[in-house]
Amino acid sequence: MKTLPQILALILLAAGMSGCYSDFKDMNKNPNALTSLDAEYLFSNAVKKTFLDTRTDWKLMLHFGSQYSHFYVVSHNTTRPHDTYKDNLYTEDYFDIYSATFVGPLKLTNEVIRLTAEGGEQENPLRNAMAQVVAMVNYARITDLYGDIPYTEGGWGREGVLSPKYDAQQFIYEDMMTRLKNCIEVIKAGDPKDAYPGFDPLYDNDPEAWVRFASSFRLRLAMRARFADEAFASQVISECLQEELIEDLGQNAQIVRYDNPDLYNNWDWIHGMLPWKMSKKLVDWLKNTSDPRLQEWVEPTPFGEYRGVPNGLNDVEFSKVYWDSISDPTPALYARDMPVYFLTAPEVKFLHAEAALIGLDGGDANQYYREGIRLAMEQWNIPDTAIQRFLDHEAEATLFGSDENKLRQIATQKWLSFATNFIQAYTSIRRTGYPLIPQRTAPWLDRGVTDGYLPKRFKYPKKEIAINYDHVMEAIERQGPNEISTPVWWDVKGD
Amino acid sequence: MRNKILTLLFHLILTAVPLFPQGEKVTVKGEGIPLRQLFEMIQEKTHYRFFYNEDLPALNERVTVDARNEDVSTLLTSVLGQRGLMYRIIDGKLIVVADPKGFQQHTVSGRVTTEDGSPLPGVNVFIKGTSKGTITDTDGRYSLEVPDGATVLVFSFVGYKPQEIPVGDRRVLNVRLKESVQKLEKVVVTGLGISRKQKSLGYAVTEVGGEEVAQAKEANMINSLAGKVAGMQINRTAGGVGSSSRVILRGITSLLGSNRPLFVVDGVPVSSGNLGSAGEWGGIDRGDNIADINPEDIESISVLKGPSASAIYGSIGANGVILITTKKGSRKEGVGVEYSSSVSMDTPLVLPELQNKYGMGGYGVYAPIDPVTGLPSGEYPWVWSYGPEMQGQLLINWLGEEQPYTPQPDNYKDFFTTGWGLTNTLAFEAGSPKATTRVSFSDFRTQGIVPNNDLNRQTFNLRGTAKLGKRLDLDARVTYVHQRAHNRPLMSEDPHNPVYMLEMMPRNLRLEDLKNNIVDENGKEKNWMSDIFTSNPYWGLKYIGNLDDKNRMISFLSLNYHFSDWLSLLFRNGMDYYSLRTKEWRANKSKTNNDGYLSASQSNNMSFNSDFLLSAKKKLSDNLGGGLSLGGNMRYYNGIWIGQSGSLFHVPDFYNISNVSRYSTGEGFSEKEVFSLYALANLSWKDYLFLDATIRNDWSTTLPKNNNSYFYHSENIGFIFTQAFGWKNYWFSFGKLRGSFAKVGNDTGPYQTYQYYYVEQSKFPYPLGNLSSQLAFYDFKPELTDSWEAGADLMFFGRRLEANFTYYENLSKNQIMSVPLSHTTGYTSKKFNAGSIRSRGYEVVVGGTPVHTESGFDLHLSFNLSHSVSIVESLHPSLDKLELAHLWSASIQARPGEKYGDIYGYAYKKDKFGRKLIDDRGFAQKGDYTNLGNINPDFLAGFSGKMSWKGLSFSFLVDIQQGGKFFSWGKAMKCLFGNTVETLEGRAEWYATHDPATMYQTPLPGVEPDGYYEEGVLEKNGQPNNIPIQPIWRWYNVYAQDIAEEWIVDASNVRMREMVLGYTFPAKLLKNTPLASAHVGLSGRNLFFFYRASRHVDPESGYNPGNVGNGFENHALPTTRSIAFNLKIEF
Repeated sequence: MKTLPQILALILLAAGMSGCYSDFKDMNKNPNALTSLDAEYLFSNAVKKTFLDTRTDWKLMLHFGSQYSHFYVVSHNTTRPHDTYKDNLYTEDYFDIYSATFVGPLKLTNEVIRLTAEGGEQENPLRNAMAQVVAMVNYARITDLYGDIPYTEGGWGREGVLSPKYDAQQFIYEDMMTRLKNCIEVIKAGDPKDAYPGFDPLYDNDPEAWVRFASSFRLRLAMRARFADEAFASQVISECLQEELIEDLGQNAQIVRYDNPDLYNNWDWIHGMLPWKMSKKLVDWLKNTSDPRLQEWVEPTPFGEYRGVPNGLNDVEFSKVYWDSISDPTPALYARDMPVYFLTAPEVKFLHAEAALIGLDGGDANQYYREGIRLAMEQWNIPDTAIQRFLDHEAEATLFGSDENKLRQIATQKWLSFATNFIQAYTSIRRTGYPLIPQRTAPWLDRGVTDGYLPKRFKYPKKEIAINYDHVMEAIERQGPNEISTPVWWDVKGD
Repeated sequence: MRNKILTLLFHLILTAVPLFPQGEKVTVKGEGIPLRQLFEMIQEKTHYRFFYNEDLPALNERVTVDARNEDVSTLLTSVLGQRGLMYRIIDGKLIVVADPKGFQQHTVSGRVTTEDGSPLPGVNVFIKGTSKGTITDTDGRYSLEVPDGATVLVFSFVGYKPQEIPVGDRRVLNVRLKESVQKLEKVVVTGLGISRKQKSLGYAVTEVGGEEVAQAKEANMINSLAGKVAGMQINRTAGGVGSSSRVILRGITSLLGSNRPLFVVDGVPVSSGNLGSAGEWGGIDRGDNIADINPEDIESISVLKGPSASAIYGSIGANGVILITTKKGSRKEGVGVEYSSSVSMDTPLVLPELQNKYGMGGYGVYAPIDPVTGLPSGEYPWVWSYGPEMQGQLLINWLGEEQPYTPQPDNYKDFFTTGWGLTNTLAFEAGSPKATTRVSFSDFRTQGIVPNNDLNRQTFNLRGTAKLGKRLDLDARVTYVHQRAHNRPLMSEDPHNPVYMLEMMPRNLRLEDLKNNIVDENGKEKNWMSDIFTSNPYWGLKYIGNLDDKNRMISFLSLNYHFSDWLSLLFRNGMDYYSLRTKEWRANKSKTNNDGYLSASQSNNMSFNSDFLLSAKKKLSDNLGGGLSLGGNMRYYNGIWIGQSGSLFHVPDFYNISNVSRYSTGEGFSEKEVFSLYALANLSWKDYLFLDATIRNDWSTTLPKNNNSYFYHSENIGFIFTQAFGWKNYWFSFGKLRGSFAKVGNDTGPYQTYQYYYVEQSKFPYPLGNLSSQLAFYDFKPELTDSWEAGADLMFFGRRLEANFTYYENLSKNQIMSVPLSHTTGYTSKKFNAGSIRSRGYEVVVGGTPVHTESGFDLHLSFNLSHSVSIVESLHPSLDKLELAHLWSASIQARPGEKYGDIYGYAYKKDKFGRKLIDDRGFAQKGDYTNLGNINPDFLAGFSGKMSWKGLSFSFLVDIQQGGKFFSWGKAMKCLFGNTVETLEGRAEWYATHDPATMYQTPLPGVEPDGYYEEGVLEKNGQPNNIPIQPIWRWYNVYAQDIAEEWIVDASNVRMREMVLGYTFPAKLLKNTPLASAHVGLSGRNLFFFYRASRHVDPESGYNPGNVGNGFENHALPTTRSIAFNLKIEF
């Protein structure tokens, strides 16, 4: 019977049709797609999508991040619910961020991991390790926002895992620490020729830079876990401090390519879409501490003032605001050729400072702190004299008082240094409690669904609950109600 | 005074009353009245009717009578006898008065029967050239006085060929009437274009004549079928001129795949589908490919419902088949020329009911004026219509000018223009006994109600047939279509959807202000509100646009070789090719696209169908007939697509890809091939028992190699029991039972059995790799649909009343469905063979010709009713529901055990009695996420009538939908913005009792607050709600809480779908003109509603022609009423 179609074809062709047909058997292989591809093409896209992605930049960074971290306030109803601590109107955002990560970079990193694994079609331990580091950046981003997530099974649809189980965040953190350590060892031992020469938009295939990045990233995560599991975190922090870390701005994990429109900063057009205004919290802090970044970041109003608007106004108050009297952000914060920061030298300095504060780093906390401030300002091209003036004259530029106050100072400067990585700024506020975002009790503020407290996590998306019900329910049981006021595992320090 | 009007009622009486009833009695009194008047008096008081020759002089003679309760026959005998007249009572009803002296007469009587001898009652028998006649009684008998000499009697009856018989000297004249072929031997086109006698079919076929789609034309010809075919549901999308329609026959057979029937033109399947439709967030509808068929070229349309009828088309026919037969030239010698023209005018049918009391503002006050700009705030809610009462007070408008604050009742309506359409068709026909040719050229141009939306289409059609020698028949056709459309309206939630903006516009906003101020001082789009997801509709008219341009060629060539009178071989090749160019642009500095946007694409699609059919047909014995056909088919499809898009125009308003700073390009290709072999057999026994069977095997390239062959079959039976049992009588003239079963397989789209990588264009030195987000499925099995139907075709009263019933059931299994995955797998979906869906329903068609007179007056009425329900029996085990479509707070889902097309969303929180539970502040609350109703109607019905008299004809079609719901997001926005009349409730009361100084937030001291009262009971104590709320918060609360229930609207409606008035000039009048015939007509489509449950919108306002597209309304363009003048002349 197998040849019947061909016989039939001949009969029908003979009946007057031109022979323009492909072979019946192979016709179903799409000529405009590939059935195999070298992993380096996938890796470069995974890196790009991890550090620069339209959907995450737009929704995660601006809608949530910039308002939760009290940098911006949107002067438009569409994204108001984020700022007023609501959780119902834009639940799509919770889904989009989930989806943009798993179906975006994680699909790609895991495909690279699958192809380059031992026994894989393109076995290559070095490539495998680098892809794992990128994968963990993504898992960490999602777990920090949602808590328990599908970590071991998430992103493995290609291997047939179609309803991934959720892992506890503690397990995820512990496992990431081990995996990162192993990956760092592999990268150190590898020959760069075997990595991604010509295909690495982050560090141009420099293994040393990747090691610095992976170790600094591991340090960031370990520090994040320190209030939840001090013993474990302390050990990892100590290990990380032994490694080469990101020390100067040139080693920053940031994507910046002025010549490549594919790598333009997405905020350029996102800013064009929504009118973002500066938050009173940020503007007041910068003004009160005479921080030279004020002029760098904040446009004066037509009245010549630097003026922010409070986050979280209720609908009536919001509708009374004269938006022209509120400062805009300067293009420095969103121009298309501004770098997109992920992990920077100042952050590492502040991590050092915090480690020194708790005795895990032999250095001087204050010195690290001041170095961090200097680097953070240099990153925004603040003139040296202005930096020096700030360091010399501003009380906040030197650690003082109790350890708790020092932590407040470190966390607050770190908050500023995160600009424009707003979601990290928000995460840092959650862990340390600084800068203090007080409960919204004033009558002109909207308390949202959290009774005015800064939200502590993102909700599992409705679509995910619907499709992967049992596993999400397990996570909710373990972690607490699927509300934005439920803290994640590492968020144990009181505000 | 002849009464030849036959009504069904009349027949009933006729058959019910005794043959010769007792003579009726009458009371009449009169002195010196003319005889004629006496007759009339008797007629008035009795059932008798008088027949007489008007020329009788005695009629004017005066008589004096005084009869009390006297036998009519006695009275007449005395009155007429005196005057030498005689009379006769026929059928107990007719009194024929004759003058025996005037001319010699004699009585002719006899019996009229059908060919097989059964009596025919109600047959008109009359003397040719006169108005004198009678009708036959229940036994078919008649008796008539006829003058001696050359008299011809005419016997006529609906459904039978009239006969004229010279009487001569005969006293007895028995007549057998032959049934007219069209009635009994009605031939319909069935699968593969094979013509079959309708009576021999085991399944339901509905045929619609070409004139029915031509006389009241639609830009999309398929819409003309709405309401005419039982079991067919047509929902047009509200997408401007030439937009697409959702067409479903007999419910759902595929959960996620297409449920659109197959369209076959002259035996060749053609592309019929949608060329682009809108989604939740916008888009345009580029119409259906089937709209390319010119209604003027259509001879007839056969609708084969359900797989039984269409099994022979295999998988592509699983949703039913619509067979279109185009016109051929006639075999008459000579040349015919036909010209037809029609002009139509389109106006909005349903407009939203808007309030005209309160204008722009919020909380009862006008927007605050910004001290910097001097303009009123453009933010929500200040741009809603919740401002103060409009009393002409001077206020600063959005342009910064002082302006009287007055209602603008027409600012929605006036944006639209009157649409029009103009169609001209010229056709030539030439023929000879050996060959025929028909050439037609048609030009169709139309302007939509959105001012810059137009579409025009030219169709060129050439059809030729020829007999090549004795044995070979050739038939060929080429159709070329060119269509161009400009500025198809952007739909649903696109800010450039003008309707969306008009719906949100405050009630005091002046359209001319909007029109005259589209650009601000920076050259950017200017609008009355600052929300950047909004737009000035007049900016849109000028700076946002699109066009598409289609060239299409449909052709076929068939050769049929007759080996003998019983054996023939047919070869047929058909090709359907079209290329489509599309372009869409948004200028720089549009509010929504500061960088502008351009996309352009070009696609070519080709499908090739090639088949052969060897047919044998033989009468095997006197009683046994049979036919056997063997066929094979190859279907090949390929499509190529190239697209470009970009943004940031260098030269403003020049929309060319070379003028953008950023661009990307892409290309696509797909192809598919299916081979089939099939056999059809049919057997008939004594012309009353018919058996058909088909078997078919398909091989499809889209299935995995080891699973790519699938076999299916169908059987059907037709049994004419009236004939088999020899039941021959007048009132039950024909009865047939039919039943069929079919199993049909289905394949899928190409390229799904491999996991693919692809590359994304980039500005890196290399492309970026990616993986498709759908997981491949390596072990596909074909989908299978089992279906059966049973039905009866009955005819009564000598076939003047017809009734058809059908019950059907389909079960589709192994559904190839794309199952959404948890995105945490890294993938969005995977295809599975999973799930099944069962549809069942019934169809009833009743029609008849209650009135038919010899003077040429005919009334034909037809009623059809259908009900269909589709139940999702199962889904993939990992799914407890499957989302079919989504719009804001509503979701249309398939859930196992539930009906297909249930709308889910949040309901109001209610107690067990269904009363809303109101919270302490007076607000309704969000309740369960639940089923809010089903999108499918409980039943659909059509009632049509056609009257004709001499050259005049009038027809109408009433289209009825009972039940079915839709989610109206347009209504939600209109209410939220305070523009609809509903939102007036409670406003005056609230403002009267609250303090304006606090924006009406606090009650006036000492005044009992009043306002909007949500209907329901207080949750805290169960008492009726008595807490007033400010109306703006009432609507905002519903919106903000995602309560979808509020926006669920009943789609039930009764609509005057079509009315056509026509006049054909009598041949006499045209004698001295070059015209052979002339016809003028006035037609209207979508004229008005007898009943409509939905306010604000036509229930036919979906934005997407997909499976559940009728379930959502999202700022739909108003549907239109169209009135056309038609002219058709032949030379």
